[in-house]
Amino acid sequence: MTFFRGSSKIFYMENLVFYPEKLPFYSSFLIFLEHTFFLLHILLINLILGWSMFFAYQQLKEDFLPETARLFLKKKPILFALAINMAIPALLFLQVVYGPLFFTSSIILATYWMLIIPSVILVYYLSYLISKKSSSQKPFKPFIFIQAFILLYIVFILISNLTLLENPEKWHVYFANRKGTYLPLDIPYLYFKYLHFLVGSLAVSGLSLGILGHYKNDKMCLIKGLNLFFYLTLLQIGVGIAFLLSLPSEIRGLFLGNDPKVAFFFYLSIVCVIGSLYFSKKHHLKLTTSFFILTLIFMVVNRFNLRALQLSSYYQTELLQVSPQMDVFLVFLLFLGLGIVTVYYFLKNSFSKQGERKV
Amino acid sequence: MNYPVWETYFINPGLWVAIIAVFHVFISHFAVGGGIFLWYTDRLSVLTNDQDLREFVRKHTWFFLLITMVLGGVSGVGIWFIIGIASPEATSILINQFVFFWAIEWVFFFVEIVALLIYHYKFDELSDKLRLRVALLYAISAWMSLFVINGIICFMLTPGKWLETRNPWHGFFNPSSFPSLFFRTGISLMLAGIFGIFSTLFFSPKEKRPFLLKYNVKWLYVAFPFIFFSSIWYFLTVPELSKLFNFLFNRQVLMAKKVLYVSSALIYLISLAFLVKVNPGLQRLLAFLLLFIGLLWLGSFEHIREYARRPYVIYGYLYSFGIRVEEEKKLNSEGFLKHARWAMVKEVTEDNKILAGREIFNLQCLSCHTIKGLRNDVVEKARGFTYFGMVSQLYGQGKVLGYMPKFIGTEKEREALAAFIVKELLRKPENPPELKPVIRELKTQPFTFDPQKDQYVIFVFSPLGMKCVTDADRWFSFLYPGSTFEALVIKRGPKPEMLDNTKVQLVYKVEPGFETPSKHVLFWDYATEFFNQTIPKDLGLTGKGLNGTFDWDEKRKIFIAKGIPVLPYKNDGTYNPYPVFEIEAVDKVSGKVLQRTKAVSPVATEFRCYVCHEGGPRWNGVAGISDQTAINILKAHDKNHQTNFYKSALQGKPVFCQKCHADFIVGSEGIKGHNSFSAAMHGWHANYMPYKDEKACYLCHPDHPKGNTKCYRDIHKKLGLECVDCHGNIDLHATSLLKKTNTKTSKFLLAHLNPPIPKDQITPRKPWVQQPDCLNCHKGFQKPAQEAKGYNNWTEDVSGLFRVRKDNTQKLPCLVCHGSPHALYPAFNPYGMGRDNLQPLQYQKNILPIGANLKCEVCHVKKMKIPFHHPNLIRTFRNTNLLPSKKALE
Repeated sequence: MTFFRGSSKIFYMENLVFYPEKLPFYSSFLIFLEHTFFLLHILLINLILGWSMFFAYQQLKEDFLPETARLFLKKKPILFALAINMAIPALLFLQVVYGPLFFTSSIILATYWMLIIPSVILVYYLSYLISKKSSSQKPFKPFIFIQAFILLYIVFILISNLTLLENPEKWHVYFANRKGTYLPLDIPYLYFKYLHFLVGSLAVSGLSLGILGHYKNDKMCLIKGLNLFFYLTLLQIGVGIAFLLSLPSEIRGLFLGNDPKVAFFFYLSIVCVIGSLYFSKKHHLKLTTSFFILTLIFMVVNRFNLRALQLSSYYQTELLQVSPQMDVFLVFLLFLGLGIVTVYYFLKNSFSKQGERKV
Repeated sequence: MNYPVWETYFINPGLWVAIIAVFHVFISHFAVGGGIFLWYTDRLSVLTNDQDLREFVRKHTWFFLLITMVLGGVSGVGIWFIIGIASPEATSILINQFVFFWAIEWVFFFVEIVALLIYHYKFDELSDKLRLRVALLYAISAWMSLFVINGIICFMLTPGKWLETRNPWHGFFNPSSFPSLFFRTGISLMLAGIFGIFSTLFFSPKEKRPFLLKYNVKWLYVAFPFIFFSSIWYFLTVPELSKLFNFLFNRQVLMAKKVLYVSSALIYLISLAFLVKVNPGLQRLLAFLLLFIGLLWLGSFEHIREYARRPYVIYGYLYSFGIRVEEEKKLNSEGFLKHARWAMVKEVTEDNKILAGREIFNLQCLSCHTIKGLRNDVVEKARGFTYFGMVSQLYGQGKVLGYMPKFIGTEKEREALAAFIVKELLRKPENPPELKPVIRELKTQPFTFDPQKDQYVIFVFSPLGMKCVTDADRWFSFLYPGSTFEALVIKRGPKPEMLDNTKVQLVYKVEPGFETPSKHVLFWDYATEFFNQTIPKDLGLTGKGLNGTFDWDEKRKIFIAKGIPVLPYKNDGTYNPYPVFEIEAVDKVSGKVLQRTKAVSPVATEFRCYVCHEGGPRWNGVAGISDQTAINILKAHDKNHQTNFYKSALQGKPVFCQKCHADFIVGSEGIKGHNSFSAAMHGWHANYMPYKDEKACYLCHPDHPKGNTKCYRDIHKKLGLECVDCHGNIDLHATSLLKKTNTKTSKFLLAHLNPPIPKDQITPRKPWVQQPDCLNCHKGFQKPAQEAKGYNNWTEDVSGLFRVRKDNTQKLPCLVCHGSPHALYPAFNPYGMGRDNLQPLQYQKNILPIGANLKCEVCHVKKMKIPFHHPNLIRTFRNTNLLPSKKALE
């Protein structure tokens, strides 16, 4: 039984963590949806953050990026639009399954959490401003730095919130600080998790440069991108190891082999990373990308496993009761299908070379 | 209760929700209407081959995208963030119940985003046909987004059948979802026009502006019928109780309604200004103004909508601070803190009272109230209350003013919250200063009486055992100075003769020190405001002064001096609620004094309003209503009933309460639809009164054990009977009055009263006219049974009242022999045994009822054998053990 002291009273953690009322659908499927959309969201955020840092660095070292890379500067508002859009279902399904944990952690760091909103509005508008000036040599240099810094803040808070969610034993800070200004800085793995995210964002952005180079037939750009990906992924392995070491020993042990299922996905992701490293060194874009995507998928599984292990003594999703809303779910699937088909139709026609476009 | 609370006292979480939501909703409705606008206008440009119009659409799209996609999209996420923090319980339910509806909404949002990006970035590259299809797709998805969200929002106001079935479809397609959908569609079209005007003035070529302005203004007028008719339909779906509580009594809704009406008119008026040619600079200024008014308009509507579901966040299911209705009973009995996961204090003790109060405040109040913050500041709202006032306020919270949720928790928890607000936030003491005790023995000698020689007796009595006077005339009045004496003059003999005004004149005179009441109250300064007539100082409404003569009431065959403006304030600065008058019967022919007697005219100003409405007593710490107390009372009335009495009083026009509230005792008919004064006072305060025994009575009536009046001073009190034994407790008392008044408001004043007998068995009664009948207990004039109760069997009319009733001969009022109500002989006046018993002492040399212990000779000059006045008369006094000394029985 976990307990802590606060103002001479003893509180029991079990009382602070509780299970929500019956879920409207099977938790495993809701978790799958959460992670699917989270993967899409995080990929877009990786690109936004990674490219923001690349462009910030380029302001200091002008020849860091090839000219082709400016496309990312120009199209960043679109990435923002899609990233925000994808955040919604991820957040929705997270809240259904982990609501009691997520709402609590959001309240404990509410001030920082709410500051995300004006911050996003600011960086979003900055992206439009920068995009408009993207063709000039020094496009709103200060804005590029500001944008990068704000994005670093947003990501840090997001990671802090999700980390706090997984660590209810830290929630007692609420009794000393109710102003929503707590950050779980005393959780050691928070820093490595954050660093893992930052380096990951840079690696993803490097890979995207390679992909852009491929489509623009810019060999230099392709190689630059894959090289960036290679070195950053190498660095990421180091950060990943530090992340692993910073985890509580029993959880680390489970990842390393004490729980075969958990370890299986962990090692699988290591194999995929090595694959992507190998092929990026060989400048083989398609295989690099394929291994990278597999890595991402397995990393998402690892992420889920880490959360489940952290929460195992407080909150087990298998214990959640379900009263499935099958009919509404089917209607959702129907609309999702229709939405995808419609978007596909319009994208296809709008970007096709003949289609219905003007000559 | 299951979650911690973001302790932001200056801008509370609820206010953050409001700020972000109004901002978001303004833009998101523009996104919906703007989508239809883009498609329709672009189509028009294609049909008319109008390149300028198309250029306007292109530029407007850029503006539209920047506003809706960035501000609209991110602020939408912001709402989600903040509601999860401010109302996690409600958010959790909404997400859980409607997860796939939200997901469907996201699908439409996704399509919307993609369509708008294509439309904007490919505007010049797409064929007209494809571009219009993309625009139409955007418009449809945006409207479908609205359709889905609208269903969920409306669920919160009218959950409909969901409350029984828990079926998400029933929740989604609820009673208000379609009217609201039409209404919001109208809003969207209107905002499309408003933003269109703005866009025109900033992004369109000058020569095209007149056309575009006219075109955009049309959108406002197309929207009007949607808004107008659907708003009526929408309002009809609002729960009935909400219509009453929130739309009639909630000041904030009333204010929002005013803003809504005024801004509606302004929007349509200002839009007309764009049809005439004026300076472009001025037009742009007007466009900004129009946008701002549009924001106000939508803000006020959303405000009303939010408040319409008060005190719930999901109507009938979840209170606004996140407690399920079904949990209320358990929490009230077992304790709120015990079940609040995030409360540091689980049980209230004297040591942790303030901390416990703070926990409760955070969990039950902070979602709506700030502390010294921007809106709904609890410090401001509580300023006029004392600690006990706040306890009472919390006791009655949500009962009468149903837009507030009821306080949930135990009595101790209620006190803890009150302590936090009053002691911690307002820095007030827990107990207001007690009245300075001034009761002292006042020697009063009755006049002498010689049973052998004296041929006459005079009986003078006050028909009210206590006349109360409100002395806050600068602010209000409901009981003005004006006491009454009634009297009989009897010529003694075997068959006593009652004398009338043809033979004798009765003259009265107050004891020294009470002759100039105008020195002590401002009644005469404000009499014109109260009664539309000037009253000379120290005279009553009837023209009677402190010295004067009695009139003859031919109908009742008694002498009467009505409206004597006596006060308990003596010129030497002392408080004496029992001033003595001397009365002489003078032979009209000879001028000879036939008999003299003394009588008290009981009068008090001891209202304990200050126990709840902070301000203390007015008169030397002894009695009266201080300015501050009166101001707090007026402010409370103004707040709760949308009056302006405080402001009016400041302008020298205090209010006379019975101008609106009918009151038999002052002869006021009031205004139709208002509760009678007694029903209003008792009905309102009963809902807030945590006491249900006699303590409730003497918080207002001058009988507090530590008070300076102790108006209930007769033999019944001595026997241990309390006010509630005759009148019923405050809930019963109020119920009988409210049932009689039967107004619209009386119904919800009645709703939460809990009288000791079922409400449908309580007999309605008219105040002052229908009172407990003495014979309810004293059946056949006998000793009452042990279990006898006086209440719920009221006198039929005035003639049945003890103070009016006469004996079997129909000549002798009951009061002649028994004394005044609440001061029946033998009376135990705290200012001295002699005070109320002056006439028994004078005529019988004891304090017993006239004629008791067979003292028939007082009038009859001999013993009588037949109980002619009423049965069971010829006997000895029963309760001799209660009498102070044997001397009293002499």
